[in-house]
Amino acid sequence: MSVAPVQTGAVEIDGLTVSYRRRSALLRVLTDVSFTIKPGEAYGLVGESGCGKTTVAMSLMRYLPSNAVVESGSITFGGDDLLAANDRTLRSWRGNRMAMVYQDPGTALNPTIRVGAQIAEVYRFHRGMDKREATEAAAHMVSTVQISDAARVLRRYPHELSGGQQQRVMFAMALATDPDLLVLDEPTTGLDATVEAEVLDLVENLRDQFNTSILFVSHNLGIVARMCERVGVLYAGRLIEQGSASEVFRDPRHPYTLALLRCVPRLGMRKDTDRLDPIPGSLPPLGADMPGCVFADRCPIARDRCVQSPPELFPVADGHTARCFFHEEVPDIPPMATAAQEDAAPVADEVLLQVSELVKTYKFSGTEVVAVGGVDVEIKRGEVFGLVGESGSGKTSFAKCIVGLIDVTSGRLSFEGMDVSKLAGKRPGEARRRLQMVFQNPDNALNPTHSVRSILRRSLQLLAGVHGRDTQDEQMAELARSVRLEQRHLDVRPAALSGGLKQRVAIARSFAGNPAMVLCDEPTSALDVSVQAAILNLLVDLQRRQGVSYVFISHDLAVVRYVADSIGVMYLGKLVDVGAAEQVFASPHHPYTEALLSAIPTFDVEESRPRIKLSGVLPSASDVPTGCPFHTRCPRVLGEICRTEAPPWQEDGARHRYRCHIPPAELTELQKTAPPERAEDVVA
Amino acid sequence: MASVEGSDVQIQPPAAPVLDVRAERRRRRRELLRALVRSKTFVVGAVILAFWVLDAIFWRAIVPHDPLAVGPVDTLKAPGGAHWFGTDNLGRDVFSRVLAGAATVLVIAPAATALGLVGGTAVGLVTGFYRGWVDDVVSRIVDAFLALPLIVIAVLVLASLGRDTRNIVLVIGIIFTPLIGRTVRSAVLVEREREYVAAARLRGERGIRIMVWEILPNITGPIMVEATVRLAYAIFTAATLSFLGLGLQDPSPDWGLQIANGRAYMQVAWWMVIFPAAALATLVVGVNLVADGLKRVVEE
Repeated sequence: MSVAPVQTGAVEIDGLTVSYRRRSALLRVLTDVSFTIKPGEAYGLVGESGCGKTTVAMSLMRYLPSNAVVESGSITFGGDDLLAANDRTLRSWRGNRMAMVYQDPGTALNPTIRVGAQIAEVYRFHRGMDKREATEAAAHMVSTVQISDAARVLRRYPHELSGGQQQRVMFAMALATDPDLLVLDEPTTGLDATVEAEVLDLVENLRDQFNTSILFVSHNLGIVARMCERVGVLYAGRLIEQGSASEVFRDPRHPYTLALLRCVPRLGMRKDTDRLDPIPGSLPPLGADMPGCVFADRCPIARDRCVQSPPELFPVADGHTARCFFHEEVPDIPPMATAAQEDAAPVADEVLLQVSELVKTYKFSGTEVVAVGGVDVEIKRGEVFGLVGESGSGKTSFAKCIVGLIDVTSGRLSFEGMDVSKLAGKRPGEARRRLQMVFQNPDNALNPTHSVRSILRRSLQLLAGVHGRDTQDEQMAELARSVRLEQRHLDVRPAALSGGLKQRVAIARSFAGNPAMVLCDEPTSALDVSVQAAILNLLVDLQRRQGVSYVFISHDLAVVRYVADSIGVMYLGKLVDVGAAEQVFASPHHPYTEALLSAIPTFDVEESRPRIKLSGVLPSASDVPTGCPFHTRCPRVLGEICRTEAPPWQEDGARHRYRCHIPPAELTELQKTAPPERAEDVVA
Repeated sequence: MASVEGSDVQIQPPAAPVLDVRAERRRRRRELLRALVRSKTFVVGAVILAFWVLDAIFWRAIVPHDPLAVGPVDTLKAPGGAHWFGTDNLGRDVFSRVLAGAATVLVIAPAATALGLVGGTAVGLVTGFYRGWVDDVVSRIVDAFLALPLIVIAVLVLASLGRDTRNIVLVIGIIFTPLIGRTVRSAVLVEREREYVAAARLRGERGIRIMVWEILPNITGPIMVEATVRLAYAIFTAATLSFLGLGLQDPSPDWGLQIANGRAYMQVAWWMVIFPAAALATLVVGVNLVADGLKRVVEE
């Protein structure tokens, strides 16, 4: 399906101002947002949650909720006034000229209709094809979005497909009518790193084929840097900087953009040498009345002028504008965090947690699912052990076994000489006190009906054995200070706190009993990047000061690399790569680790790594492949041996080992070049 | 405002001002009340319910006649000047009896609901929280209960235990226990998977404390809704039992009893049935409207 370039894709948004009606008040979410997307161009819109990104996307599709009011401004789409179009016109435009792909493909697809029928429906409705033609067109489209075995996929229901495949189907539906504009709202958020990389590759591919204009909305700077020619940075509903992606990310001219870039840990940053630079303060609330610059109260170079009058967009270079009076000074803003680091307490040579042959299986109506399939690991006192792996790899089950939230099927856990292979309630109190956990989502982890004070008081009582109000209050003040919570935060319920503050409360709670080890299960993935930086700094500080060990679980390799001393990579319930952090990240490493690393998007535009594509989907944990569990997807698969024989541990120096049939010397040589693309036939 | 210290503590957004817990609770209660007042369903239901509750308390002061006073000459009088709702077969004033009848039903139904609520919440918490064999055993007993029509159980129990007010309350309350228990259990099943429960386990809380201290405050919404729905059922059940002759006995002005007595005179004195039946209907509808309004507000 080759199509001549269409020149009507240009989108012009001019002075768009949108408010939401809440009760009788109008809360402003977008103020005077203007930008254009040229035909065939990909325009990225970045910003933290609550900045108005999605409202822009929804305005563009005219999908705004009923309580939204477009107060002023215009949107022109290929010369037509989008805001003036009536429902009928919109309906035909939405399929034919513009399409949208949402964040969660699982909920965007109709679960009761077969995938093929859903795609065919688009053709029947918008192209007036009959059933047979539409089915053929759907089959063609599915192969265009690189779904292998199209015929079979078309007959499936959405839930039978993997997340990556579902998102491909969404793309197939969106591109079915060859739209001029494609709106992508966080299309890869919630997908695993390797799947995300696949989807992004697909988008790049499709752009070459279809020449659509793209509005790419994302909170992930790395992805936008990779995918888009131009970017706009939104903050509190205002476009505060705009320009070509390479220029904005290389030479940001708004203090917010700069701060956003600085607070993300990049691959190669280490807690011992670099401190993350969080953005102080928080986003102004919806509808806040700000006479001056919206960023003034968080800005390191703000002056009186900034508070008094709003800055316009100043041109700083060709096509690069920034909404800052003092944009010339931005490059000279020093990092806010103090670079000096206290010396790290050296990792002791004493084993704190010994995990031997840990197995955790679940039974679902007869079938046995292996979540953790025999893991051996030793974690030393004061060590941060990073655990990475995709969803379904068993990392969370592993963590829950260790803290005793779920039963261990078999294997032995020994912690500070105590046997902890049982549920938390059956462990000695000392083991509970010394082994705690910080959960992923602080909204869920703090009881919404209790005040912060009563949450902490109870932990002090049970974990530290502190009784008596006065002593408790004293220790609570101490605890709050250590996580930098203020006194006024103690007397509220969690709902009144921001996400970062909630996570501080959760951290304080786990530290109440002076633990020796804390399991952090994705502690920052529910938070915005600027808040993530502050929480990571806090965790690093606490660890240094108290000499605790962490098991730090994250899907974000840069974050794990930043905090961890040693790293384990899990695949289908097994550790495949373990060792000192720097060695796991350096070649030779397990081919799976190699693929994970190559999937990280980066906003260092110049740096480009060859991407390794993993073929096929993650096998089900109820049917783990024989031999090496990774052989079905491994780009460096040797042949029969991988399928039949479980690979041995290969020792690569004293502090690194991986499970593979390829010995270190040979693997180092191989990994100097990207692996060949794998034929799909091995998968089925 | 312009300069910001280098600490990485976040400043609270002014939209969610930091209030202390008590002030926050007051504010939330005010908001809930405001939302309820805005709901027409709730307001209409509440007015009807308030009318009957006030009547149940003060009927002695407002009835024009003694509801128990027999008038041998005034039997089966049609509604008119002296007797607005007419008189019954014994010459008693139907209007006064309708007003007085609210009292018995509004004692029995709330008491029975409260009993069922306490029992049901306990059953729901235990089965939902422990799952496993506790859940299996209790749930099978509950299923057995649910398999029999409610009235059949009540008839059996009241026939064997005797039919005084206490037994009626007891029997309705016990029948409600598994029904309410099921609703509470499903709410607990959702809550127990939340990580604050895991955190409580990790600090070594006992099961009972997790159920009562951690989970219960978070499921008061569904429990409240269930309570109002059950209250309407209880009113109806109490009236049905009286109607069947298993509740209060003549000369009590109970509505169910009045309807039962009036049934025989339906052809000649429709007012003996219509007025108590209408009273019962308005009360049940009123309670249901309150339940609906509450449900919508709680679910928002």
